[in-house]
Amino acid sequence: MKRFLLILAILLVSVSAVTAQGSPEVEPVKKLTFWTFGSESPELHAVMTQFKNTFKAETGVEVEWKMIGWGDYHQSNLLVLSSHEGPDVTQMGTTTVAQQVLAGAFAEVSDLYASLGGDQAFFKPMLATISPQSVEGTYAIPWFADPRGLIYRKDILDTLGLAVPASWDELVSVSQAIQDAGIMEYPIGIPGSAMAHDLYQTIDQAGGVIASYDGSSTISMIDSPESTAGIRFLTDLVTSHKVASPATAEYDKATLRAKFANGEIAFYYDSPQAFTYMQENAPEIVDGVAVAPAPAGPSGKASVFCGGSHLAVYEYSDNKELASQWISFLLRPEHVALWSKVYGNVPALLSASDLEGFDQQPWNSFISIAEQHGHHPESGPGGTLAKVDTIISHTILGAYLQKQYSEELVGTAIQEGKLVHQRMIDQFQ
Amino acid sequence: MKYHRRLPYIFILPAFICMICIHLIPMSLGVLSSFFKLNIMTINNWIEAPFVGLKNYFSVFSPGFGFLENFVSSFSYTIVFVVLAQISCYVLGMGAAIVLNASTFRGKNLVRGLLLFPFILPGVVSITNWRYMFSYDTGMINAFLIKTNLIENLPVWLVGDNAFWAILTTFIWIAWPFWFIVLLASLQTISHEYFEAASIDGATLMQKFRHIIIPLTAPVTRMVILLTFMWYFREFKVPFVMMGLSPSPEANLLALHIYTESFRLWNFSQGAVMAVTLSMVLMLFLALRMYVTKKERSL
Repeated sequence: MKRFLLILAILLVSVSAVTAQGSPEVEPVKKLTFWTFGSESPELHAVMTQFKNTFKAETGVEVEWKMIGWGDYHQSNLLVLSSHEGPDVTQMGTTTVAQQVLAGAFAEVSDLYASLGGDQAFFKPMLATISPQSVEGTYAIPWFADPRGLIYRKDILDTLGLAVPASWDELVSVSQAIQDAGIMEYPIGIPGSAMAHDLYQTIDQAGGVIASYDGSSTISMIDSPESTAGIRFLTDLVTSHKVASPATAEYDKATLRAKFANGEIAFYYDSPQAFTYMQENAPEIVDGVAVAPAPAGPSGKASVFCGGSHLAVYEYSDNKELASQWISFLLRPEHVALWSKVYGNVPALLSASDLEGFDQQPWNSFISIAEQHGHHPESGPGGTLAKVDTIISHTILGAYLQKQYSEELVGTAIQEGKLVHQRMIDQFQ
Repeated sequence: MKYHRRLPYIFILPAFICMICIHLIPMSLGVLSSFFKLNIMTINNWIEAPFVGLKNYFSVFSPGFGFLENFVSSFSYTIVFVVLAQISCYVLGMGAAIVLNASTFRGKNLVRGLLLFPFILPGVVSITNWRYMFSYDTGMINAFLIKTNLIENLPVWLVGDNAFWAILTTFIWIAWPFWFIVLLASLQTISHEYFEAASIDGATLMQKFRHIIIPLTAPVTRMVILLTFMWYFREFKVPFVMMGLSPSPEANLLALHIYTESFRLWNFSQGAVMAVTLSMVLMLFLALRMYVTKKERSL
């Protein structure tokens, strides 16, 4: 038995040696991993496959692409941060870039950014978030922008002889006119289960900021009089003016899109994806829909939140050079335009904004609104309102439903939100 | 002979290794992380996270840090949730078991199978269905209330106080068939002679329930209560699928609260402290269960 095993082992070693000598030297295929976030559609898949094939033909590099749902966004980033295992290049939402950079996740890409044209080449509202306020250098390259605007039923306003609301008061009075005409019960939609993006703009419209950085530390400002006014504007639409549904805290953006398409609401804030959704689900109303800047608040600003996504290279990547090549490839104007169009956003690269029909309605309206009124919260540890928004909305709107609403309760809810916000900020300082 | 003595250990070894890798090591790391400063900044190099002793426990259990109030609220709602779920499941399970045990109609097995349906269906499917049913505008429940004019102002089920009742109802729907099947099996072991003798003595239905069914199903009931207490106490699926990561405080059960605190707000250490506390509560019940089992065996 032992002799048999010995002979078998010798044979195996000999065969492997001969095979290894006989085969020609094959250079291993270079691979790069790339994560994007969103809902994978056949169209997106086709575009990315085309990109991958072209890139491989040009460079010999094979890109392994993975599309992850936004629901798993934070979890995925966290896993990479703790395990140092993950993609070489990733798509990164504008509000979370600063936190990831401060946590040491991303490599600096200042040279790449400069080689792509620097600040002059990109859509201005995106520039605030390519690095945190407290850090020198560039850590993310703008890819596409996701500007919000007031999506409204122009046909209904025309029928009632009403102008598009340009201020908070006008938004309320126009909504009440729609209610009085018996057209809709609650004409305004607010995504109460995730209203951070709406808060970013109403707080700015009221002249507030969500966090303040003084050069050494950051403090939460969501309890300032201006921020409180911004928060109150949204919740008062439910509690005082009764022009938004009492079930607002139940709604998310997807619910509002469906409600708008069903003719249940006349106003809500959304990105160009709203039109893509309507064209697919309610094409009959598209002609009667338009987009406008957000109604201005007490500060006179008609700010619209301009989010979107950047591309970043992980610090742990062993393929930083290839990663830069891939980003340069994706940042070619025709590629940015194609991906942005299929994804439902507008290009962050200025030279791509007249391609793929972006110079036509409704895309050019979004671009123009964002250029004039685009706003993004400070790029720092306090740049997001994770859970803070729902603490506020659930406490205020929950109390309203239970008929326990009071002015004191609003203050308490905001203070509770501030505590959570500041605790998150303090992790970074 | 030696080989035969080793054999049981060899069989147990794979399971033992799995237990160490899947349970013991992560649990130990979880407990350890409650003594370190682990957040978004230190997770990058978590092996070198600073040791802070009991500071995390202090921050969770002292007022003013913002953790205690939410933890107590979440803990309290979880306790109420568990107790109400157990009582409801017992009433429904026992009721259905008694009816089915006493019935002799054709198709009894089919009915038994149908009653088990909520337990067999994937939880996420049932929970999602209930979520849509509870929806304010388009839900079946509010549609029914409108049609029947039972209520003037339609309730919002998924926010505020009602959110608790919404998750409780959904959970009971999923959980009660387990009680039903266990209690039915227990009832089937009771000899019919007891019931016949009681009938001859003129016992009412209530008296039969109180003096025959309750005492004779008590060992099984006790075991189910102890087991389900531990299962229900760590319930995550129902509030998470129905409410997402940001439920109203009333629906923020402890397991979901720990998850959100850890993985949404990045307070990993404080999340670990809460998880350790939850584990200790559950261990207490595990010890109680073991004690009850031991006592029953000795009887």
